[in-house]
Formats: sequence, C-alpha cells, structure tokens
Amino acid sequence: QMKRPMSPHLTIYKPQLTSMLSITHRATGAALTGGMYLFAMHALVVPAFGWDFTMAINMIKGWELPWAVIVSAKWLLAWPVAYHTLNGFRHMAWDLGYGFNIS
Amino acid sequence: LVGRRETKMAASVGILRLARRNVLFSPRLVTRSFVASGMVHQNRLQPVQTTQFHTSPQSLAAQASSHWNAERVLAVGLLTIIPAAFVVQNPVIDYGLAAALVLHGHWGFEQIFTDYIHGPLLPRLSKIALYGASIVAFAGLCYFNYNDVGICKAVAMVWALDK
Repeated sequence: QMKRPMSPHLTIYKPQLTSMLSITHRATGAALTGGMYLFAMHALVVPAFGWDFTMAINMIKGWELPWAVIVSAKWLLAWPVAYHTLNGFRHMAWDLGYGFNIS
Repeated sequence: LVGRRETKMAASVGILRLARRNVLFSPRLVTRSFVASGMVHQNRLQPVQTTQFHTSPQSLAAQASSHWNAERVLAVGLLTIIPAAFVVQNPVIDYGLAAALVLHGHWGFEQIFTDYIHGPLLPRLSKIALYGASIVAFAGLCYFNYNDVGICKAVAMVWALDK
C-alpha cells in the first residue's frame, strides 16, 4: 500500500522481557480462540458423519498412547490457558492503576 | 444541519490542530459532523477521505470507553466462571462458558485486527469474517452443550485420558 521504504523495526528491536511477555499473551489468546473456534465448527459438522465426543474419546483411548504422550498433550493444552490467565492478572493490575511506579 | 463548506472548514481546522497538538479529538471536531479521517504518513499528516457521518457529541469516545469497560467486566466474569466450573458442572456453567469464552475471544481478535490490519477495505472484511466465525463458533458450542456431553464434561473426559 505504501510505496516508500520504511525504517527497520521488528528486525532491529531487541527482544525484551516486557515485549516477549506481551506478545506471548496475545499469541496464547489468539491460539486458544482459534482452537476453540475450530473445535466448535467441528462440533457442528461431525454429527452428520455419525460421530460424537464420547466416540472420539474412546477412539483415542483405543490408540493406547504412552502416558508421556498424553501428559505432554495435556500440558500443551493447559500451558496457554495458564499463561494467558496469569498474564491477564498483570493486565488487570495495570488497568486498575497498579504497577507503574519504579520502586 | 451544517453545510458541506462549514463541515470542511471545521474538519480542516480540527485536523490542523490535530497535527500540531496530537490530540485525538479536538472539541471542534466532536461538536459537529466531520469527515472521519485516516491520518496517513506521506511526509506529513494528511487527511484521507474515508466516510462522512454525523454523530452526537462525545458519542464515539463514550462508546469506546464503555467497550473497554465491558472487556474488563467480561474478563473478571471469566475469572469467576472458570473456577466455578471446577466446583460444579451443569448446563448453566456450560452455556455461560460458551458465551463468555466466545465473546472474550471475539473482542480479543478485534483488537488484534485493529492493531495489525490497516487500509480502507481489509479491516472491514476481516471484521465481517470475524463476526461470522464467532457466531458459528457460539452456535457450535451451544450445539455441543445441547446434543453432546457439554464443555465441562468434555474437559473432564479429556483430562481423564491418562488413567
């Protein structure tokens, strides 16, 4: 859209704790929402093929995955929720006005 | 009703003030109809004609402010309903979670689009697509709550997979 050259920004700015925490908050939120939306859309479609959630769970149980795989998968699901919630507390504190003084 | 010439004069005066003081809404702009301007960096701030609409004074700012408040209220609501889901599981929690999670995600994605998608057309298209996706997602979660095990039970079933 703009034809003129721009100064580098993302390529030169040093990653810092503040910006990394912030972008992770946004990324986890986007990923969780995206995943939830995909699940919800899936839920509307698969019944037409005769599937329901219990059948899907039983199918996964039938794979007899190693315990380590299941726990890793649970961790992959839970970590974004935990991070987003805890970082959300930080945002809440800022919104209430706390945390702007250097002390 | 204000004529076009007065509108353009008011808009240009207001925009000159914008360029000097960097204030988002000068009093001149909000007390009469104005050209909604995108400010584009082409060596200097220039107003870009987008749409012209009438609004009552303070209306846009007030709407933005209430939206911000609503986002925070929803976040606190989520912080109550999620722990509640650990304590009790019933359809009220299921549908409450469906509504709160979709709305929270929808508003979050709106902010992401506002931050990263610019221009005359792409933001509008993406917001329309987001509305569609959110409505379908909410419908899907409600369908899941009604015709299948429901959100709380589903999470419990997934979490019991390693037993």
